[in-house]
Amino acid sequence: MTGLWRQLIIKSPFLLILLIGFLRTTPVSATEVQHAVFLRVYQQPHNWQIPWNRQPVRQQTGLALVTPKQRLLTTAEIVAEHTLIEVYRPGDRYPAKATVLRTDDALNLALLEVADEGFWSGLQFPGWGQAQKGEVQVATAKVPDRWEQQAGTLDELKVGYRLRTETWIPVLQVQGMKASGPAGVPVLQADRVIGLALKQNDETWSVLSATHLQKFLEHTPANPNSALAHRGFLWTRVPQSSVTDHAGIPADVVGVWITRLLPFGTGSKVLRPGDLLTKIGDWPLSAEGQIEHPVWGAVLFDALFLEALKLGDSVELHLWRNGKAQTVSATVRPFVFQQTLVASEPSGAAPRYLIQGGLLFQELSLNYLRSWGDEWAKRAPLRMRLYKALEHANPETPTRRIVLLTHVLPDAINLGYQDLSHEVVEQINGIEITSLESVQQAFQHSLGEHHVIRLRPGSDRRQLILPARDLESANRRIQETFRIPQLQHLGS
Amino acid sequence: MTLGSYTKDSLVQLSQMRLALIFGFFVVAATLLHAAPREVQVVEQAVVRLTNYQQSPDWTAPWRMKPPQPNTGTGFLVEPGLILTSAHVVSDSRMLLVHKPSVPEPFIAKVAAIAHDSDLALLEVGDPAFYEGLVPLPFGEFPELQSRVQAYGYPLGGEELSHTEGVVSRIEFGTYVHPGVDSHLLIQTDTAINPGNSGGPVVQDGKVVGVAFQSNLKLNDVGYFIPVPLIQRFLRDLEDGSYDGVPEIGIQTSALLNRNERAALGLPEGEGGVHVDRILPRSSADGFLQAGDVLLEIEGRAIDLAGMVRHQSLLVDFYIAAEDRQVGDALHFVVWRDQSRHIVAVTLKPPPFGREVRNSYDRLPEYLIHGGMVFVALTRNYLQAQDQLYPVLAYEHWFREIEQPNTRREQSVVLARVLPASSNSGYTELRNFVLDRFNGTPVQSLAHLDSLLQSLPPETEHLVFTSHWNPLPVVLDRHELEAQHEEILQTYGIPAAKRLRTSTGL
Repeated sequence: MTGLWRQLIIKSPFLLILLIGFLRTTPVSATEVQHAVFLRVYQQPHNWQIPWNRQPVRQQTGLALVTPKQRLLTTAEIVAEHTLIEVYRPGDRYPAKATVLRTDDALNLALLEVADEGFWSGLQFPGWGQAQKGEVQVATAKVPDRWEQQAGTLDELKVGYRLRTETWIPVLQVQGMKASGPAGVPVLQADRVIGLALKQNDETWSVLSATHLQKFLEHTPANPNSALAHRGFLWTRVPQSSVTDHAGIPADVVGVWITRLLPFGTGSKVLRPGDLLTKIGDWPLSAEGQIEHPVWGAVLFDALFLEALKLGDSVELHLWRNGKAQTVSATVRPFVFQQTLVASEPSGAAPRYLIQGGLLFQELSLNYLRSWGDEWAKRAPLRMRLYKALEHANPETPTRRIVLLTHVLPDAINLGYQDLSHEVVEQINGIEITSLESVQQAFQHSLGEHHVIRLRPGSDRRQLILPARDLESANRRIQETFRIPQLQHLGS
Repeated sequence: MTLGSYTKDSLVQLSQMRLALIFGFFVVAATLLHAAPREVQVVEQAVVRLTNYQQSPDWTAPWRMKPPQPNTGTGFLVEPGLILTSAHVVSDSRMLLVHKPSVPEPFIAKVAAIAHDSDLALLEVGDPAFYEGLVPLPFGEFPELQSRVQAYGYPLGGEELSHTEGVVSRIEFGTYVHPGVDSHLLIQTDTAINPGNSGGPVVQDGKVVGVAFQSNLKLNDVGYFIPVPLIQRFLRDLEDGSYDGVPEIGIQTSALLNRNERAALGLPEGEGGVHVDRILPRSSADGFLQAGDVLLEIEGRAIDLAGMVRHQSLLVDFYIAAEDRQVGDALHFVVWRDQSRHIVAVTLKPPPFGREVRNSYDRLPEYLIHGGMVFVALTRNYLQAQDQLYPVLAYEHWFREIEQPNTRREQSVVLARVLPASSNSGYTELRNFVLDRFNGTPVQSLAHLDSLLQSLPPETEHLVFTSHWNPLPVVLDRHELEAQHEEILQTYGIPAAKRLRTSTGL
């Protein structure tokens, strides 16, 4: 380093930062990028508070990987609730239109198709690679015609929690990247694809590995929801030796304590709360729930569901139960939507609702709770938050949903009830309400001249009554007054 | 409409607490002044300034007290030798001083009677010199809407009596913030009432028409005072030497504004009434009124479709008929049941819920510590002392009795936290574990848990705590825990391992 440079760097740390930034981010000719494309997506999310409406249109940008069979792979979040997906080959001024073939919310992946044959000219899938510790390369773009090359360091495999679907996903951690960047960026090692960046926190990128990308692409979904194998239970480390001592388990046995079963996933049918799970297949578990991975070292056992196991595989679970060592066989099963009391609906799913006499009925879902914003856990009505928080208290597969009277559209037929909101419906016309379908059926069987709606104890009132004879005409009037396209949407 | 039932009050209370300001220190801002000089002089001879050095417990560390702090308020002579004020002014008192106008030296007072349910208290001063020159204020009637009233009190930090004037703007039922769950009659005024004159008289024509006690932060220049019927009920309640409390009917009702609902109930055209949605178990109404009844009249007054009765020239919630009643009094209803009118008499009882439902004052929290495991009773104070709302605790406190009335226990016991020690290692992050069973026995209360721990068979090796909220128990080595018990108390500076309901001071 010359004396002048040394002086400049010593006197100007800012220049040093600029230089490092320049070295880590290098402009690249758009035509050199053949494995990725730029996406501009127009989204119009559903309005879960007014379920027949949508929110204002918004725009998101991201990237997608060119797959082996002339498809595009990107994140499910980018294309969720889209109205238009525009795709630009690197350097193109004008976009082509893409459509979504399928999505996997749990994995946060979406597969796109571009009908225009000419679009694929100059694009090429570079081949899959096996992720290793070390340097990775990415080409990113914030606008279609300005691409740049970045490098970072892949150093860790972690199990991350995906808040949106409440699932755990093993993700590769890439450090030292430029702070910001779009989602859906293909990550390469030795010019081979080893993953797709899901999100970036500061300089750390979470990357879904190529193994999962391939699983998604190859997945022939018997379960249309996900290719994500799921462990199907919650666990904790054994708090202290008194626990195993009380359970009659020798002190030298190491494993994790099964605390709750989920209504889906691999262990859900064969494990029990209180089991001490010691080994999955040939992989012994540490007291902290880690396995020793040949590449990544100690990593949470969820990584097995990425690396070694795939849906439908049979796997032996070694455990201690009732003071005895046992082995049970389990089938590797996926994450499934809508199997919890307050379920998460797949992204893009239109809200289900039903209106009778101005009473708006909806099922309580995670999507509905999220309509109170990111802080829904503090802002949503207390009773609804309780149902969400308490669903794990009953680990059995719920046979019912919570049906809410979410709002009342004011009309003469519901005079006196117009201020009710977010009440839990117990019965209609003597029929127990367990879903919107049961609401629909119950309204077929009035009690004499009236429909009697019973709310759960603790509501602002227990009973509402609508006249059976006037209901149809009131429904038409309400639909017209409030300009509601449909009085119900019960499709999934 | 759920007035008179603790349920709705409980649900809305958290949000209301943010809106309403208790005037622990009420004062009148400044100007005034349509009160005649003679009237001012009369009032001045009755109104005194109060300084209360309060100290309340730390509900998250129940063996510990918070630092004492001075609060100021107002009181006034209602009878020779008795000062009336608001309960919240004199709650949790360690020393209570009364300042007489123009007398520099304060007098020490003591609380003679306190009604947390209606936010009222009576004070006594031992020194007869205090009462020299003071004249009790007479009580007036229920003020008319839009009539003028004057509020007297001592400004925060000020030592001179001041008063403001305004009009009665609303007469309604609302939550009394001090107890937190009780809903009573209150009168709203636009008289400037500020922190400092809580407990002070609100006066009309030289007579007391209420006691100033709370405000609403959402609205400008809106204060509330407790009306005379509730004050006189309090004074009459004390006549037998003890305070029984404001009785509770124990019903949840809803308005019948919907004509289809009235038709379905078979109510004759033109008939009013409110629907009884729910009867609180063990309440006054339990066994007399029924869910599904329609209340047509109360004490001879017709109840309209919105649940209001005529009181003088006003329409007020029908519960007003019970506001001046005592425990043991009868309340007569005309109800619509089985398509005909019936007369039903209800003998009034205290509210059917335990003291854990209300905000607690002048009482130390119960707790039990065993080997660093801190057990507490689930109370409103404990719930509100948390840094966040714990859904399981909220369910246990508010919804269990509503949704699963058959599972009610004498007291909900919570393993609140763990004081870290090697004997409880692994459980130190545990918070708010709702306890159901200990070593297989259902736990009814803290005292019950204590007796179970004290009477363990010698062969017991493990302490097993279970909760229906958690499939897995908390399991601890009995001997390790017991061996470290005293050391843990010493390490964490805890003077006593337990304070139970049977202990002195509770």
